[in-house]
Amino acid sequence: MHAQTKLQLPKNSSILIDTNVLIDSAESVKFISLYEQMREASIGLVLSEVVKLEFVRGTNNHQKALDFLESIFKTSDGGMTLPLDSEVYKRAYEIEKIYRYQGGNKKSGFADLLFAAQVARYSIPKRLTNQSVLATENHKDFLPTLFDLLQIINIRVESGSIKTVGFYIFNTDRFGELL
Amino acid sequence: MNNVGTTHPIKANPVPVWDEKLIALAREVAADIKRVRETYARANEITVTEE
Repeated sequence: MHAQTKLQLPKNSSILIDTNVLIDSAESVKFISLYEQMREASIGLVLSEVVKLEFVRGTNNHQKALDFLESIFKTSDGGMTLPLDSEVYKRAYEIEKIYRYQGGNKKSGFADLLFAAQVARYSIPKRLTNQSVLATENHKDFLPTLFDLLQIINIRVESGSIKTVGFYIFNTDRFGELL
Repeated sequence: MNNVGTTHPIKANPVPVWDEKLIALAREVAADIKRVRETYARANEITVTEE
């Protein structure tokens, strides 16, 4: 086991896994410990349409990639795939504007912006349970202005590299203030 | 309350057990991702050389 700390997230949270975590999950069995911890913490997983597209387009065999995602998220068995609806696009414009002014004109990647907007869209204000939690290894594109870091899990993979997975929650109060 | 977020929690599914079948599938996908990366890297090298 290389995950160094026990995962402790809001009760009954749903984790939205970013593409980088999924890729490393495919590449290293060391990531299995992360999933074991999530299971022990009774946390659910949710797939994003943005992440699904980003993951699949990085492969040649799209069907195999889709099968892999299905095995993890069980979307055909009632699991939800977060859509890109009009509310998500609305949030994306708002987040972009906040990033521009609060993040020193920082420009996030297009996919990251849409994914951030999905996390925002499905975050519940003023709740300590049932929250949407973002799990990512990309710590720069989810600015502290809007995303509070809950926990970090380090995983040492076969190459000796240490992968750092951050668990973030969208701060709906701060977002409302900055709009 | 701010007009942000949702009032409905999303429907999540339980975290899967990584059995041998899923691990084998992950290895195949990982190998595929690696091939795609190498292909793009080679394509970019060729482009740079041609320029």
